[in-house]
Amino acid sequence: MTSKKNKPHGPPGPLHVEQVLRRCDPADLGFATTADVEPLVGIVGQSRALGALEFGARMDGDGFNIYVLGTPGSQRHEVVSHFLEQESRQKPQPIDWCYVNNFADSQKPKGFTLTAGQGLRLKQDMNQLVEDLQASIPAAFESENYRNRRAEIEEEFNEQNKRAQEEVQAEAEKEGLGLLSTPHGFAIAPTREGRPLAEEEFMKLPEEERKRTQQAIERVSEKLGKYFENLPSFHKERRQRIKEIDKNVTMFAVGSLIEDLRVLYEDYPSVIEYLDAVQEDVVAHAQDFGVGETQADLLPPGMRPDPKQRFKRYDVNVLVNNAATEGAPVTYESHPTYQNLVGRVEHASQFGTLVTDFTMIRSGALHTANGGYLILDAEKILVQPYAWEGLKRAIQNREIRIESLGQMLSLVSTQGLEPDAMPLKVKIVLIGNRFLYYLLCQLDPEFPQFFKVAADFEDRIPRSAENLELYGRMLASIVQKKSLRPFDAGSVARVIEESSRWVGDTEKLSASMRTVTDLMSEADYCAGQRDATLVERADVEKAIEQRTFRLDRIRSQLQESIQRKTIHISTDGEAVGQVNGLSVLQLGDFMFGQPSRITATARLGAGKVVDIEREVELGGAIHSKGVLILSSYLGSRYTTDVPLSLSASLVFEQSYGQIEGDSASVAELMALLSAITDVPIRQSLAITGSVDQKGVVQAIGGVNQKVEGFFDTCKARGLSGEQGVLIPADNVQHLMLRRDVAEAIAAKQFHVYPLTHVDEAIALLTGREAGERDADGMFPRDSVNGLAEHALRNLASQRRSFASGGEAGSADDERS
Amino acid sequence: MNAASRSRVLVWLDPTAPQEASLEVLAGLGSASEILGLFVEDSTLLNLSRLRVAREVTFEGSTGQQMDQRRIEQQFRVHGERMRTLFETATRRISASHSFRVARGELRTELLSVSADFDMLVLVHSRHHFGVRLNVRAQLGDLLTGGPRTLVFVQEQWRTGQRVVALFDRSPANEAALRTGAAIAAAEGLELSILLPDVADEQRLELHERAREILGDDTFYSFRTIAAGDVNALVRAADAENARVLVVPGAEPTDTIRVVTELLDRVSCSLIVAR
Repeated sequence: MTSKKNKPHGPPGPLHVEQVLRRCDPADLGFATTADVEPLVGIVGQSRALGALEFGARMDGDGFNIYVLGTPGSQRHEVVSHFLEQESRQKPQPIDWCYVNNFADSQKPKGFTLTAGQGLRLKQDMNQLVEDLQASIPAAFESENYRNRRAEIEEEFNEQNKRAQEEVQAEAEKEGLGLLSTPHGFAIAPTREGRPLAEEEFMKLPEEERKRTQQAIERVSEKLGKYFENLPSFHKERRQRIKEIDKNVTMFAVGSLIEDLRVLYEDYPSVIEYLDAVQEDVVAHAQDFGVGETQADLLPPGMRPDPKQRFKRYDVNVLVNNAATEGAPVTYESHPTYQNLVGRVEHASQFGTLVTDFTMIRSGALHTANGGYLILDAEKILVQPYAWEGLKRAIQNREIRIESLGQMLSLVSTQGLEPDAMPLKVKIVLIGNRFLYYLLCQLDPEFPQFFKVAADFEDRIPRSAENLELYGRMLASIVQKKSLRPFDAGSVARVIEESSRWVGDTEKLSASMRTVTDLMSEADYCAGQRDATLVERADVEKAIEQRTFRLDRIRSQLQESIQRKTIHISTDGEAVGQVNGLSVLQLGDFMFGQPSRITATARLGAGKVVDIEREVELGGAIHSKGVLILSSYLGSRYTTDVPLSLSASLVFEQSYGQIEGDSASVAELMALLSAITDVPIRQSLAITGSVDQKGVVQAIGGVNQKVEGFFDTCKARGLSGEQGVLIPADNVQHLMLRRDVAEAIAAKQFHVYPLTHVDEAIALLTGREAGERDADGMFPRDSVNGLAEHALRNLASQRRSFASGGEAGSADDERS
Repeated sequence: MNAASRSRVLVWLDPTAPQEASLEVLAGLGSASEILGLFVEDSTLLNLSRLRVAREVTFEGSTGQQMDQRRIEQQFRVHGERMRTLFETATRRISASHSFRVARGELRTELLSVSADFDMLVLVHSRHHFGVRLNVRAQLGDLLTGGPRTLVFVQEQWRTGQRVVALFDRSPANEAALRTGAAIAAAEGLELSILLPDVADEQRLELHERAREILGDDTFYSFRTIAAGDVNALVRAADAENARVLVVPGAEPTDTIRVVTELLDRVSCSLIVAR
């Protein structure tokens, strides 16, 4: 019950044209064309986001990574990249990271760091070393000295072997026996004149001689067996002595070459350790350098590996080469798969088998960004399987461990590489939308721990004088970047006006540079169509018109249906329980308004306003909330001391889609009051706005499109000068109406009325006094409020009579 | 190998010696007209297996095992098949017609009778004499008088040397030796080193010029002078040159037998006697 304290709400006057379209005066911009201004480097009105970026980029603590929030098109990528590139120049040049063969376990390649540029140098030095070794090792083995030493050993062993053989041979000959090689060994048999005896000849020998021969054969067999038994160890010793000489010769050839490298890399203990291992390996594999035969030489020609592959194990895989990097690296990974982030191990097919080694380790974005900044798109990384997990693990462990997904998930048991993990120090900058940020905060407990800095980009920026100048310069920079024709001040002013319209606020400008750039490009195209060298206001107008026309098919069809009365919308006359509401439809990037016929019926009931949309599940929760507020409003305003005994129904006629929002609640209240009081409503007016329980009209969204939707319907039927739209007064600041609407308003052919209270709407829509309670708390009898109170009290009285079984009375009877 | 052009080649296949080296030689016989691989089942060994008192000691260490004729027969079959496979694998790379034959008989007789019909004999030479069934040295006289024009004694060290060394002296077969050496050097991609005898300057110059004429400008070669008629000098030169193959001319048989026997004992490279 506030009416006693409130001032009466008379009908408000229509808005002036200046109130429905805030123009931008080209003279305020301070330039004639964009060619006259210095393009802006940077961005306008994003001080909060830039401050957060600066803090995040310079803050060194754990987890101070940055999440950049904002809507697409707000130049987040450009701004972040530009900012980080500036920041990175102050930072030191990062290190190189190399992988080399682990000679002790080739499945676990060794990794080490070198100062920038040294990785590539080490690789070149190792290649040169291998090249030198291919010449120096064979040369050492061809030397007279080596061959003499080897020949001595061979001779010594041959002599020993020969002596052992001669002993057996002599023993056999002494006993009159012969030795003959068989495929598997040697045969021992009695001979005569160098020829084995035949069985018959042997049997003719005296028994004693035969016996003696048999015993001799046994002895020689035993001696021969012993000789064979000693052969393996004999050969082993020979091989070992030759190996020893080979080792010494190789050491001699390798030593000085590797020593040179040791001096070069004395500051890197890991490299020195690696060079020691290389030396040991070269000595053990001298045959690879052209000394004697290798196992590969014994393979058939087609199966022999490429000779270059023999020395692959001495190669250096420079995974991160920062030789050419100035300052810290700034990396943007546009396709952040798990492997593109943490790196991968590639495989090659060899005779039907997949093989790999340390040279096939490939870097990921984390490697290349290490020591600097890595920019990622939040949406992209979250849709890549395990990429988010991989990123978080790397941040948490402060190292990059290259594992295949199979290894990570323990899905494969085949042997793979396990390279050393690379220490990680990187600042991650995630760019994403706000919804995702809040979702991550809510659903991923680790997210706030790893991304402690939020850089929130504004969607809209204040339309202040200072910003207007900067905005103009920013448009000039777009002209320069996109190589467009210069824009004159008029066309820039028009872009600024349109920018305000996009955000639906006379006090703001759109921060979506993508949309602005698109409009400017299209205007440039229009200027080109007329062979102009300068983009003018008309070009921008045309671009807007054409863009609207391209997207306008559905809106046109709806308007056509209204004109052909397939959809019933009245724009003149009066009707009881019926009002023109307004709704907004968004199809992709295109938003437009259209009128909707809202009707209400009222009868005796239990105090319930039925939202038919809700009943058939076409109305959303907020819409239902608006309708419930109406019941409360009716009860609190008209029937504070009797039960609200009304049963009313509300419906959006000819609406077959979802209805959401409470922006039609004032319209619904008007239809309801009309139905209750039988007071007709002017159909030349449409109304939009939400209402609270006290009858205060509140702001709604899409006000421009709603006004324009009703205007289009009226204009198609002919503007009468009576038509107009009632909007919440709080929405006046959002009005940036189309030129044609503004012109009609200026010509008083169409009107926009600001509302602060439902009583003002009652006055405007019914043409009657809404009515305020007098000193006795009574509404004037003929006022709409008075009629409403009377009708509702009557309904309460009827309900009481029904309940007591008596005849129906009237409110007048009751009050008297 | 020019020396073998349009020639008939006999490859003596002996399972008791490593055959890969001798078969490797076949790569250099691109223009041979016919190659025969011969594996002989030694009848002496078969006869021996019938002698009950004879015993066999195997490399695996079994001692005093009685000889078994069926086992020997079986071993011959297995080894014959292995030799065939090795031979056919090696000859697949050569365009010449080739065949493989298994014969049974006494080794010496088979070698001399079959090789008489061929221009070249390739066999693996084993430096040890221990238990050898076919003593190649003992057959040198017959081979040099009635055998093939070219004898190739392949040593196990065939692949380790780096040069082909050919003796170009004043003997009648010197040109054959030089041409053979040059052909092998070209086929194997090795350097050719020509050994000239330390004779009077005029004669040496003459040999020098003759070698140039024979080899032409396309062959890369070098000269080395050694003491004439000195086997020690030949051995030292082969060693110093790190020879893979040493080619010597087959002169008068008695002289050649002495030289070749000594060379076979002392050089580690393979030896070719060209006539």
